[in-house]
Amino acid sequence: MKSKILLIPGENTLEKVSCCDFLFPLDGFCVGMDRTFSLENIPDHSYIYVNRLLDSRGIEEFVKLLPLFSKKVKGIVFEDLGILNVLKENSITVETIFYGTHGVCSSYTANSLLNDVDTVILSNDITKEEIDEILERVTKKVGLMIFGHLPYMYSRRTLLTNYSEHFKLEKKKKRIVKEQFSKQEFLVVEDEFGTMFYDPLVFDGRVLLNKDVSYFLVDLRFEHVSSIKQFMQDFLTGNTIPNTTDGFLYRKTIYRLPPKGGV
Amino acid sequence: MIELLAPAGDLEKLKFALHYGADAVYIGGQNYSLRANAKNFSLEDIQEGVNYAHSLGKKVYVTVNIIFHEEDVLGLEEYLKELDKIGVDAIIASDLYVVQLATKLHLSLEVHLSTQGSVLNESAALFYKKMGVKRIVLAREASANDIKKIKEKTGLDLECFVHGAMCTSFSGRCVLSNVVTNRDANRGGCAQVCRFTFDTDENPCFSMTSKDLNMIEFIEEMMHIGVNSFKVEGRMRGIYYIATVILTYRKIIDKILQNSLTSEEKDYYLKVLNRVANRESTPQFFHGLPTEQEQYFLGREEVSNQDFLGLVLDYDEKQKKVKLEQRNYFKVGDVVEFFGPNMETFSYTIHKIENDLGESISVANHPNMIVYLPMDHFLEKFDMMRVKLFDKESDL
Repeated sequence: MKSKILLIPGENTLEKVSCCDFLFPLDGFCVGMDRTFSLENIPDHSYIYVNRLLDSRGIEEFVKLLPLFSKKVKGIVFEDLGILNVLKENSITVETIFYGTHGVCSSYTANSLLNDVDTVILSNDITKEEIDEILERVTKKVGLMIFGHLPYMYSRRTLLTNYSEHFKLEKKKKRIVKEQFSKQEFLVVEDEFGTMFYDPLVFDGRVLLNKDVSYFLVDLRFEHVSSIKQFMQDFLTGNTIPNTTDGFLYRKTIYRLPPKGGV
Repeated sequence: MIELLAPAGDLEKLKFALHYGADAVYIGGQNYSLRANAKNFSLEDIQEGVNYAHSLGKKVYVTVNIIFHEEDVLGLEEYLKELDKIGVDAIIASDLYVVQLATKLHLSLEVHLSTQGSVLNESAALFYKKMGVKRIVLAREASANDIKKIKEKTGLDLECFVHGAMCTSFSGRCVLSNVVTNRDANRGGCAQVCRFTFDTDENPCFSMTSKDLNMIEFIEEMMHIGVNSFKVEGRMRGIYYIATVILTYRKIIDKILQNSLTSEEKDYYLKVLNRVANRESTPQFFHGLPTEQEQYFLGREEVSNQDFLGLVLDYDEKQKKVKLEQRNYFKVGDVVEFFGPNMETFSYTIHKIENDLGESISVANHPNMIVYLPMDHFLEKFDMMRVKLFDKESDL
């Protein structure tokens, strides 16, 4: 089966694009988005996205949406495993897609999750080589994020508000900050549910498009493309997209420091 | 069950933590632990630590809490079996693979879900309960309301951090270290980039360093809403910090259980905890979101603590002398205090110091030098001498 594309829309007009399904960030259940959608206002049988870690009140609010699921929801992408438990306990049969942004870095973890969900999106901070190894060993097809601003940090704190209030600056919900030594920039986005740090450059993972996966995630949450149709055509035909990064695809991280005085 | 849970970066710290009142310690092995660059425990060390703890009727939990990459899995199954054979009481895991593997292996040890699991709601807790998890270390972001509901709906053992450093992010939901320093935060290499400073389009620069956590004000409420284990952060901390913090929480917990904790005592303990820390501390998320008051701006704003003056090695009852290992400069005339797990803290004015040749000296100025002080008060190994902090506890 050809891999599907799930596309998180930005602020542009929604046009139906044959090669992909929209993944709608759900009102009140997403953090660090420009635009979210209420369940009532999305087309029937859509994919929805919940990227918040939910507190007890959040999970109660989520349960209230369940009566609309059979009509509105075809599949759900989520990070909080409480969502999965709620769906199971209420016998809601929608496609379940786990996207733990940094939590699925091996086939072992993916396979453990695949006992309970339909598919998982692999973490963004692994190399292409690791992706290849994982794809060989998973028991079901898994998904990959292939385009968008990579999320690097999720805080429950309102970090931009705190900064503005402390220094009596104009309040902004989005800022670019640059770490002073490495000069690495981050796009910081805040809303009532917390603060997200993203790479300000767009991750272009089209080199992964030949992989046999369940879904490719294309995240246009901050991209103000005038036409999704045109964008996808350019995207899939390999046209150049400026200001991109290949993230961790060719960058292996370490975690043990070399001993002092030696490599 | 109410448990005080202490960090232990090595065997010495484990012993101090247990002697100073911890009911259990959590430690990291040399693999699979989120403090990859700490000294950590070999299997032999773990065996010794477990034997020691069990001899005191106390417990040892081992962190196996990295997020596994393909290359890390080799040897994990044997390691878990070995931990079980050693008699480790529980592992603290965050990767679902570890949770499932430990369950599948039918080990005697319990599986506790790490705070890296970011559990904030009862439904997520139930998911992990069905996986075989016996205890959940809740996300530090859990509020009183969240904790209460999770306890009511799941009946699981709940463990909450009460003291120590905080991540700015949800623990486990951050790879800033990976991006800036190439060190993988979720495999124990975190470079604490959230304590760095950042330029932005305005001055002054942006920063997001969190103050530390301190739940002294809410321990009683936490007990009432169902928290079982009160956890202190700090596997990289020294013995003085561990001894002071654990002894303080031990006294608070015991006094609450005896319904005898006064507000004056609470104020005193708060001052002691604030003094031993290198950052300010606050309750953070328990009753609302942290504001700018719970953060530092413009850098790390940390102070190093030099209150720890000496470690008691022995006490000679006949000669009425205490043998000390020096840890910071002190001199004749200084007013200090002694504290320990089995004594009331007391003040002492140094009027004589002898070196290990029996000669009188006026200062103890060499790290780890052995000195003797005349002492009428009985002292034990593991007791400590520190700068006199405040009015002594027994004066309250």
